[in-house]
Amino acid sequence: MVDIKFKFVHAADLHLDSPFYGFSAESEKIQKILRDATFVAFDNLINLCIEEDVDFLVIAGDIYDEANNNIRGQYKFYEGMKRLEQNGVKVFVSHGNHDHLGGYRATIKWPENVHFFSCEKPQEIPFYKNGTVVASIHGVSYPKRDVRENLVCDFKVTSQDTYNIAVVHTNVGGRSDYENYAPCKKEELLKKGFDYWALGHVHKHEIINPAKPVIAYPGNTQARNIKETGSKGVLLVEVEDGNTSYEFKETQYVTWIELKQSITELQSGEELIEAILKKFTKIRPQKGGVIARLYLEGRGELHYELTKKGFDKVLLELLREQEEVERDGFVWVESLILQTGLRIDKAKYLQEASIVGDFLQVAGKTLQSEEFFEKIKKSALQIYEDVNKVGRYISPPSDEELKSWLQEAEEVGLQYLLEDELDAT
Amino acid sequence: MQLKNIFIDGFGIFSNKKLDFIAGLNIVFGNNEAGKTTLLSFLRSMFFGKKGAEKYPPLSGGNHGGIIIMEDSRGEEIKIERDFSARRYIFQKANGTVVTESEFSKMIGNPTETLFNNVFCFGLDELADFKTLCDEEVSGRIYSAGLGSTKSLVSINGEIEKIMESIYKKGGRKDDREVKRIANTLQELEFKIKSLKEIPHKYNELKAELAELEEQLQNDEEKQVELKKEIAFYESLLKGWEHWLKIREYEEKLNSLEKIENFPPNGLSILESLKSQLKEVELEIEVKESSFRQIARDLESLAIDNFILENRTDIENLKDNLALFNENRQHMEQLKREFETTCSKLKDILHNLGSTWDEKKLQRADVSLQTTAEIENYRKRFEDIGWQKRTLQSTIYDLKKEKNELHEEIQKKTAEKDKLIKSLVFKGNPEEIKDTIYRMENLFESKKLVQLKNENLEQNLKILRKQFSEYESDVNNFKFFGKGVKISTALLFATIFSIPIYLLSNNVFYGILAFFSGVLFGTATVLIIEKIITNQFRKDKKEKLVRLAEIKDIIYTNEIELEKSNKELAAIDEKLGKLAGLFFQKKEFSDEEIYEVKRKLEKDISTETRISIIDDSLSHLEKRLTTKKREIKELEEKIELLKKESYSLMQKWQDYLSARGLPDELLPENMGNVIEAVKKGKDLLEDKNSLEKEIASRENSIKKYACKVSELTGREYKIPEDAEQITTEVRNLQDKLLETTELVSKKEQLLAKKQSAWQSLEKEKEKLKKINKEIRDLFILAGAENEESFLQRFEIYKKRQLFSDNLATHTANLKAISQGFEFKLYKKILSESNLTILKDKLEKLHGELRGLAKRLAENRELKGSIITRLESMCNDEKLAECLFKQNIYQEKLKNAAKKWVVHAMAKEMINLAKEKYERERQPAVLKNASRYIKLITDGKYQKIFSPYGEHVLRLENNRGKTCELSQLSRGTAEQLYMSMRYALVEEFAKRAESLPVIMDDTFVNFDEIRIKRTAQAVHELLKTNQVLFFTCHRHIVKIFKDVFQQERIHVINL
Repeated sequence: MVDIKFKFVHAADLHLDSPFYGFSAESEKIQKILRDATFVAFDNLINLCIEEDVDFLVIAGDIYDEANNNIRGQYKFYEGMKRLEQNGVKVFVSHGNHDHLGGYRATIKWPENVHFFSCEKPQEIPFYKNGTVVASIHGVSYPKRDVRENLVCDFKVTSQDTYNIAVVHTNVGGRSDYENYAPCKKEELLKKGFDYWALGHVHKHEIINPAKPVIAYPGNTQARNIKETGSKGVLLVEVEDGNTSYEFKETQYVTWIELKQSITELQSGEELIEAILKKFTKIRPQKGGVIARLYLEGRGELHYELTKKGFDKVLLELLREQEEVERDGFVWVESLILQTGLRIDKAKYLQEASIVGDFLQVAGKTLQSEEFFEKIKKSALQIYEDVNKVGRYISPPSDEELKSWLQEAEEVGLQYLLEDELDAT
Repeated sequence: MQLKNIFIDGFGIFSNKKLDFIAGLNIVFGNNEAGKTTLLSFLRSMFFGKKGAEKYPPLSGGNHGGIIIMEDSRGEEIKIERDFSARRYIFQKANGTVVTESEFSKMIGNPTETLFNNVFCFGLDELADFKTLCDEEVSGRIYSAGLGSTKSLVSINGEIEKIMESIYKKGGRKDDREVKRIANTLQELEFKIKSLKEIPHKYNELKAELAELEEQLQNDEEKQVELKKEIAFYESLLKGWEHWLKIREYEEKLNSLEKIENFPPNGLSILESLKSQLKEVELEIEVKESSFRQIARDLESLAIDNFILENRTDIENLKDNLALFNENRQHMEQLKREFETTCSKLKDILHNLGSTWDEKKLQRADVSLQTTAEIENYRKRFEDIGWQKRTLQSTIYDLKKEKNELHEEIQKKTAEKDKLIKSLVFKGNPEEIKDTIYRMENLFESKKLVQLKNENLEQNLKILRKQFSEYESDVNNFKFFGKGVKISTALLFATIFSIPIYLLSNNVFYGILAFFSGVLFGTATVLIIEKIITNQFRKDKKEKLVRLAEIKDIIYTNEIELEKSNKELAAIDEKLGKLAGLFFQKKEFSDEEIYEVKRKLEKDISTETRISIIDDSLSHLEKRLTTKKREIKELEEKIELLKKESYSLMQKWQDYLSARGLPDELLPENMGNVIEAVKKGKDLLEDKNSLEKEIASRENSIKKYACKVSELTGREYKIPEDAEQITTEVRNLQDKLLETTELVSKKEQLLAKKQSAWQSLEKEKEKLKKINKEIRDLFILAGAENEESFLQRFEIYKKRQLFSDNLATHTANLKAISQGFEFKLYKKILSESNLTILKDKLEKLHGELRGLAKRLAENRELKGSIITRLESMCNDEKLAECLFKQNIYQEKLKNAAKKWVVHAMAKEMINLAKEKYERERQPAVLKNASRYIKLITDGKYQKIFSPYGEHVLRLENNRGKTCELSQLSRGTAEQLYMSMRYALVEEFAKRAESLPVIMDDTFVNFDEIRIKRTAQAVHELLKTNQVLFFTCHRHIVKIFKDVFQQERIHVINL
């Protein structure tokens, strides 16, 4: 093997200009920041390539969402490629399910440094450094969105004298939380004789195999919903004497964080705000911002304030107001989820021969008994049957989800039944 | 809460009606149309406002409304006052606190009007109507009773449903429901996105269009470049045309001339210059030859005197000493005069000094500084002694004068003292006299004090004695007054007083009676008065006697005092007399005499004082006189000493003079003049000698000079006669020498000039040769034989050069114009063209270019606009924005749906709980109702219950059989409802103030036994509530009375 040292960046799932999911705040300011976040992350990626003076960049699919006929995303990508060309960085791109070759493509004259892998069969492109082939980059693109066949099968190493990199968008091991596109198995990859499997599709960063071969998902460059918590970025890979070392580099502009705050020990709204702000200081980033989903939980005096007196809305507004989202280091509460309960002795009520006792028994039974649950479910999910207004936009919750809602329903019911008593206290 | 009294101001048939109620059962009895229903309506209206009141306008007058007074369980009263027509009402506590209607409602447990009318205040109609009990509100109350709150499950359900409906309602068309709103937005967004997604396709179309356009633009641009190049070519041809014509003209001209390729450069001007140089050199040679000849002639004509030259030094010396010679000559006269003057002055001085003085002595005389200093010393010493002598003499004079003055003063003072001694009276010891005077003064002082005391005592005694005699006479007067007043006097006084009384009375008898009684009364009065006065006087007299004795004592004491002080006075006088007697031989002295003695003594004392002062001053003066005498003596001794000193000094001086041969009579102060004269004489002697010497030397020098002149001129001169001639001769000699010297230097100059003129002439001749050779060489170079052919050849050569220069210029210009094109081709085209062809071609080309430029501009503009559109498409965020919003709204929809689902589930679970409650825990209400039905039916019916999921009531009889309501008789059914109501009332009372239960003839369908039993149930109800029972049936009243046995029952007859 040729022992010339080289560096490359492995990125995937840029999803340029794709919307964020599970976000319901109407603030135009924050929407604009989130809309631009994928671009900021992309800029960070390009800057990294230039600053680290890498030899090439491989992208394992999903640069943009073709379904959105997105010109802006493609154009910005083009601009990034131009910058890399000016800095002598080559780029190898395999398209994935979101940017498959069958989809819309804006007419753009791509710079010479960019190579898009075709969709027929894996292509092999040699990479020269100082006149010598130091690496061979293999890759294949999706011809359509719905690729269910194994694309890895056709990947073949032609020469063991060079460092072989495979770039492909695939679901290794058929993960259930991701669409099962171009599925393959780890064992298969291990056997193929490649040095580095540059994968895309899974948004969570993961090293499937640490060495010989390295099999890695860099994850997406910018998280786009609350499920995608934690750091997001790319892999900076260095090859010397055929040995591979890699480092995860952050690119995201905004990070999603789930925050939990108990109200049990708190007596007043001020105390609650103070406790939350304390948490904020811990998670406040140096650069970019944090989008936080704030869960309030526990049984306490504040539950009633929050649910009945509308303090939840005031609190949310207050927490948002004090943040300057135009600057680095903001923490923006995306939504406030109430999982709190009344400070009551449930056991005492359960034993009472009162309607409250009966209600608590019913609630308990609903969670346990399938019969009760089905009965409740039937009437509760009526709303989703309205196709025009609801059904066509959203799907009904899973049973599991519904059960967690049931607990909320229990609190709501309790509150109504005990309202007078609560008012009196 | 119980009803205490009501006042109906105006309501239906009632006006100004007052009714009182008791806490127990109140039976309101009245026949039909007595106003029972009106009263019932009045009560309902008073609790819940106007609604029911409209039917009952005040028919018998009064304001529409009234007052009810209630009392709560704590005994606190509350007044409700309403005026239905004015829509005014007031709820007021006994203490005056006004409460709001809702506060009042809360006090009585928030019963709604429906609840009140169905449960608390009902007639036969309500009782018999099953619906009234099945009303949601009422049934909800039954179950929510277990909640321990006033809120019903029904209202809770209502609230939840309200929230759900605000989110979503199946088939609902209202746009304000959250889900509907979100769905609408989503629909709009969908629509927008659809149209925005078209844009990317347009982008690609535009891109294709752009590519095509760019290709055309490129083609056109290339074409434009070519055209421009061609135009430039033709333009340059046109521009070069003129030059082309010229080139051809000069080429022809050159061909017509003889070919002279070489000619010396600048040949003509070189020839000219050589020729002029030749001329110049020839001229120069001529001039130089003539000047050489002139110099030779000048040399020959020079003549020089050799004698003068040989004696040159002597002549120069004579010239130099001529001034000195003349000066000596003139100075001789002056010197001789000075010599004579000096001699005569010297003679005078010697004469003045004396016969002994001649020049030799003068020569020897010593007038050195030492001598003058010695003489000065003598002079000073003489002067000093003289001055001291004079000073001492003047001091002695002053002292003698003072001595005499002192002497006179002493004499004066002694005379004064003698006079004072004579004036002394007693001539005693002054100390003794002073002591006597002091003692006398003391005694006089004591005497004065005693005398003053005596005077006071005498004055006191005088006053006391007068007092004493006054008191004495007072005491004697008392006696007289005490005896003077008697009964008769009193009687008389009374009678006189009584007469007018008698005269004034009308009746004699009465007059007399009055008279006597007047007398009696008067006498008695006078006597009583007298007695009182006498007693008073007696008391006074006693006091005065005591006082008298006291005064007598004081007088005595004072008299003793006076005597004592008179004795003291006599002793003082004796002492004074003794003292006076010491100085004055007399036995007795009057006060005046003693004073006289004292005055004289005092005078003596003052005289003595003055004498002692004079004594002091005398002794002082004598002391001073002695001092003066001693001083005078001392000074006179000093003068003697000075005289001796002066004499010895004079001796020394005379010795000094004789030692110097000077006359004895000379005094040091006169010695200065002699010395001065000697000094002067010495100076003159010296002057005379030096003058003699100078005259001799000058005469010698004059003679020598005259001899030298004679030598040179050969003539003899006498001095001083020929002095002027000598001067003239010397000047002549000097002139001759100057002339000869000038001639010598001129000759030398001419010789040098002649040499240089010769050399310069030779140089010029060389130059001439060189120039002639150069001219010959030039001709050879030009290929000419002589000057004429040289000039001809030069003319031809010049023309050729001009033509070929012009040719080159035009060719160069043409080349410059044709730059960028191949010159050969260029020239070829020129040679083949003419001007018209060229111009036509150019115009055609310009036309083509203009057309092309226009097309290019249009296409570029188009390209710009396409690029702008493409760029805006690339940067368009609208689609991303909409997609983002779509997600946001979907999330909102999810949240809304979730909220709806949560509430739906809560509602469902509450309903399930209610069912469970109904099923598993018969509410207390039904239990109580069962108790009441059992009582009313005497156990025939045991239980009332409401089956799960049905809003109906069932009865279970004593045999366990369930009966539906339809199976019951009307009476029994009514009894069931009655029981239910009583149970509700009871339940309600547990949670709030109990309200009065008002029934309007509800027992009419009951048999007598059941009425009795129902009355017992009412009695039961009285434990918690007040009851008002309206009826028109006497038998019912009677049954109640029987059951209650007059206890807690009150019948009101309307």
